[in-house]
Amino acid sequence: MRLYHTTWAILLAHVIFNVAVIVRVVGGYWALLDQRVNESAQMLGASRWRVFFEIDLPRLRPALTAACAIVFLFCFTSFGVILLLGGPRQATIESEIWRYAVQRTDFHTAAVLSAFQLAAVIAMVAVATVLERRVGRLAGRSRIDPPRRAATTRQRAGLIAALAPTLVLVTVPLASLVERSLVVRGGHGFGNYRSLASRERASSNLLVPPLEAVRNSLATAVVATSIAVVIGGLAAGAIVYGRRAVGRVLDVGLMLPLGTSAVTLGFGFLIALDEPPLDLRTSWILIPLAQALVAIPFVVRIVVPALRAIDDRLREAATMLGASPHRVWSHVDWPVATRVVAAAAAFAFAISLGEFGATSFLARPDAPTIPIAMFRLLSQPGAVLHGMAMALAVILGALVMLTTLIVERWRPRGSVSLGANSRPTSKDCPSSG
Amino acid sequence: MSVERLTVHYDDTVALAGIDLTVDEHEIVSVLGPSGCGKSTLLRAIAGLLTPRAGTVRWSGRDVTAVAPHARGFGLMFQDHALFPHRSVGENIEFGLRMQHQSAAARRHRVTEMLDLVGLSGMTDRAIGTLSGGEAQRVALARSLAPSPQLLMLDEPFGSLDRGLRERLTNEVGQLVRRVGVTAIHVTHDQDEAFAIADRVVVMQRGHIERVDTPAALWHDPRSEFVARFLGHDNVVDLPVRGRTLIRSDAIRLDEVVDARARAAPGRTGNHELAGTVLTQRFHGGRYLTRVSTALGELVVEHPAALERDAPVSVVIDDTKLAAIRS
Repeated sequence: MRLYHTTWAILLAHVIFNVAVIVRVVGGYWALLDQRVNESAQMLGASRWRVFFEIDLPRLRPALTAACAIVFLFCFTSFGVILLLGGPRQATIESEIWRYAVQRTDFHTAAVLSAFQLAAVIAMVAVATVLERRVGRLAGRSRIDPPRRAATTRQRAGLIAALAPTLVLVTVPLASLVERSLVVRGGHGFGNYRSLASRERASSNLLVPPLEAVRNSLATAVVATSIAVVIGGLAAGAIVYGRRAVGRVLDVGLMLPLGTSAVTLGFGFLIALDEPPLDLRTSWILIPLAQALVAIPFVVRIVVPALRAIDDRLREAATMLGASPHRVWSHVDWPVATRVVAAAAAFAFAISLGEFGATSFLARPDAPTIPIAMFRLLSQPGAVLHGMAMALAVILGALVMLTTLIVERWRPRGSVSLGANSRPTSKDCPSSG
Repeated sequence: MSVERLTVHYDDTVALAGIDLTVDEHEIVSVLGPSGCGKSTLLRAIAGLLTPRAGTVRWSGRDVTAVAPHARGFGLMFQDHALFPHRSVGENIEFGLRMQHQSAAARRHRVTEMLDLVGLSGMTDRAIGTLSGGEAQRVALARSLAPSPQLLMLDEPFGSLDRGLRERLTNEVGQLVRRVGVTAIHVTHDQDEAFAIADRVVVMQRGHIERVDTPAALWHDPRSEFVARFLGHDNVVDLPVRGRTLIRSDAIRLDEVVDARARAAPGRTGNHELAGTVLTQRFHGGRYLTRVSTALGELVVEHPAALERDAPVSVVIDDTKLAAIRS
């Protein structure tokens, strides 16, 4: 397929990226919906299709719109994919900011574009936040049914039919990436991987052996993760335990970097931190700091709901058994917090490993991260260089996959509530705020 | 334990409007009332989990209103148990003991003792998720009793259980609490549960206390129509001389009228007869709850036999068992 440098390539890439987002948001919400409502619709004579269109779909609307808002935001601020697949003719605000700032060093035009981008993103974040809050409110009200399994052959066939396109869409590019990384002159082999380590200078715009980028990426990610976890954790604590007004301001305020494109962020770092009192241009901390800023909103988003989901009555029960506020925290909140902070850290680590937008403004030629090295290798002609980029991509993919597995392992399962036997009963009095 | 002029507001709504209540040592008091009457709020205010706008909470004369909830030495058993899901049965029960810095050996001993007490011996290591509703309830009771609280509060402890289990546990818990000898306040909307457990029952309505009395006194003489109806009395009527009156179910019965002469049966002093016709019947507890239309309005009377609709009957009321209702 000749898709390179076309709009279709860009579209396809974004679809592949965002399928997971839709599945996570909508699927997660769907699982929370109370199935008894559907059952009662069926008992009132609605066919399966009627139930889907008249009950499921309207109830899913908040999740669908929220997911769409998130995907729109992600696509709007997409950078690396555009830069790589689009070529010079497929420009977006993001890629233009980068071109003006990095390639032409025309900071004024870049700044104007950034301001425009920022305004658009703030508007979208506001919408997304409102929609997301609605999802949270609705979901919080219903009970969780045990996961269901496809039982009949027909259900199984339907399941496979629904999953197959997604599976193909996601696995084919990854599989071909692995395959391409193994292509060497005259067949297949590990030549590309071996040449990553070679001291011989492979590319004119890469001053170190590409394998050095792996080391850089890991070191940067460790530092960025530490910063993100400390700052994000403190912010999450302030949101959950602080006064309500403080929490609300922080909650929305910390969403901003999530929406603000990494490009704008990197550009901001570039022009803000290059003069006294804070001149960090040459400091190694610059990139971890920028990546931490990208990761902090995600850390907050992961930690806050988990802490909020702790049933207040567990805290009250501990209090009534004689635990002081400090001990309530250490016995009820802390066990949850450790798990979720570990998950958030792994998430931040993965974000930092793959971060390209902000890093592309700040990375120096002698200290590239993996994505930067890949970009540099790909922007030069030559099958050998491209093969090396593929090999780097596979290494990056493996590292991110490993971290994701750790996230899945530690992700808090459901919320901490009152165990299997409890079911919601109406309290006779309004609970205190 | 006593509270004086206890007042709690939620935003603009008054949840408790100046409650006065005294609970004696070793006494079990049930707070009974419909949904939203403020009974759970009263409990939470006594526990210290919410701060009253005005009023004081006293324990043996000492004002504890400003004392933090964990330092009051009160225990609270929650509706839906609120067991710690990430801890085992034993770890749940010993939690309060750890808060008191008891030694591991003492804790182990006490956990065993508590599990024996609630009839769950040997379940120390069970996970909370594997317990049945009744077992979880017993563990919750063991957990709140383990630190030997001065005052035990039970917030609708059996609300989520089915009827049979609920009746059994109500009796069990009542006996247990008495055996331990702890002062207890129990909140419920179920009058049978309150009557089964309590020495005295507090009936609440809209943030006020309507009545405080022993179960028997309440049932025989509810005094207000609200209390009478809430306790399940059906027949509150206006009588010519007495005014608003409760006819208790033990003061009323039906005679199937055979002929007109049988109506004025002599020698039944104190009995008053009233002609009526059968409206509907409902089978309940081995007898028929019969709605009868009379000159006093509709009355509900228990009767051992099924009757035809519109059948003429005679309602016999024992004048000595009437209770006046203040209007």
